[in-house]
Amino acid sequence: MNFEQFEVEYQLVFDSVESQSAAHFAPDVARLKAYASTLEDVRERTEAENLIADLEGVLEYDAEPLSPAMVEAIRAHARADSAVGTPVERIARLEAGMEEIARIAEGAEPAEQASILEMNESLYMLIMALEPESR
Amino acid sequence: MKVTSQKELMAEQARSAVRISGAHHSSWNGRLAVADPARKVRGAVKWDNTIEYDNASVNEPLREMFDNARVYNQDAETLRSYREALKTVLHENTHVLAAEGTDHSDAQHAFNHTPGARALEEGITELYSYNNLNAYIDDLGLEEIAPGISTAEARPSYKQFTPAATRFTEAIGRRSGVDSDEVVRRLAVVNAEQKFRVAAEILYDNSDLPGLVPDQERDAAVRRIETAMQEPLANLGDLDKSDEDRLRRESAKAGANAVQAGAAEMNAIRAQWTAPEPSRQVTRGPHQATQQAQNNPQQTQNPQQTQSPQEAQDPQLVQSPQEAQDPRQAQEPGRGQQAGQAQHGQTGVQSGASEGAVAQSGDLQNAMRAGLTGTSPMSSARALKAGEQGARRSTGQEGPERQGPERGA
Repeated sequence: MNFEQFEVEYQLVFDSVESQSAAHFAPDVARLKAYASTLEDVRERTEAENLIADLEGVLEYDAEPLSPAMVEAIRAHARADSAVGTPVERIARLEAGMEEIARIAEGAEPAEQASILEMNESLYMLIMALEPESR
Repeated sequence: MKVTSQKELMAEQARSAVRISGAHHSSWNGRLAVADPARKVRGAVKWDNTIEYDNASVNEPLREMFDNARVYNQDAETLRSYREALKTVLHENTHVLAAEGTDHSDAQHAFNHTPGARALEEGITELYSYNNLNAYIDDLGLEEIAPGISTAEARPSYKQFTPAATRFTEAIGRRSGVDSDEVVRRLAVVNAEQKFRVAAEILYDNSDLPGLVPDQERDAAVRRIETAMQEPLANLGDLDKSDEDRLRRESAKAGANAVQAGAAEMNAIRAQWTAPEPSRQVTRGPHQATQQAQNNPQQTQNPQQTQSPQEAQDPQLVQSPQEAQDPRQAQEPGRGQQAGQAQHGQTGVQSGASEGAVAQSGDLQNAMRAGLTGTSPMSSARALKAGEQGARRSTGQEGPERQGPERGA
């Protein structure tokens, strides 16, 4: 196997990562490691090992599910942060998103309220960045 | 410096952030504002470098913390409110950390327009302030003021961005040999406009590229890496469409993807600035080429030697675009020299010259490659005026001047 073939195999696995457990991908990771070990060029082998380490890092995110309130707030943030529209339209959407996030934070468990409300900061800073363009 | 009052804390907040981070300076302008309650923010930094805090969630808990100074066994919820308030203070003070000659306010345009800038700015700022909150508490002596604050709970925010920032900095650390915590720190101490640039510089400066790319082309190469890393992080906005199990995975994938895109761009740069392997040369008279190279080894090294304009403009004589982009051309030590020899021979054969045929000069090779860097080498070109035509000679050799300006006639 050469590096190009490794990259194809790697990309197939990387792109297929969604919400499956890390254990689900253990055979793929082992297979990619075996492929990488056969690459003769030192630079290519190192690059392959870096890619596999990237993949393993991504797979670590399967043990800490987010709370429903956090998921709702992240979605509200993503909608508000959209770059679509004029500056005036974007500011209106950002302000609506901040209202929504504040509402979500109020209904969240006390230990999570601050971390949810904190996300309004970046929306507010974006509003202030957009204001000169909206005049 | 140990602080004993809220007033002292507010006066020292920026200096402490500079001390623990090693930043060049804080761009805080010294002004504090109270956030409009209608805004429903805990804190923010304005684009004139003013910091504002919400009274209810930040100023009041901090006032209470000093009112209860040195009171032990405060309940967990109270300690959490102190720690959360202080975390907001460090988060805002991390936003205003800046490199020499720059300020947070310089990044206003980038915060809005640069792809991925907000995701990286918030991801890194949250990662740094969350991971270094106890260093801030120690520097300010706040464990003595609020015993238990160092171990109180204060959850991280921006969970859509921090997995990306974590994997981004880890992937850079892996490829550069720089500790990932140090990568986070270096990105935290520059403004939002400079974070991708610093990330690209870490990758570039800790690779073999400085030995391949001329110094004058470094900035263009770093810009290419910087640009390549932006788009994957810009796509974090699509998290709205992800199911909840995939949110953090998608963020982590974006962080890894960004560095992989940067690494791929580095491979393209490496291929561009590395002469092709002998086996990939156009096989015109390989025997003569090798013999010429062996007979005239200095010619491949001599930057004074020149090449005809036709040769300089013929990509087949130098390197095909495919070869220029092929990451497999990552070179082993010594390969470049072999290729240089073959390239010399090839040039000589094509030009039909004798053994004394000229090879490409180093400067000329650099100029041709620079044309592939994304910069515009001909951007300053203009039609020569009549008196300028035929007047340029690089070697000082005398020769007949060209005829007058046909195009202007």
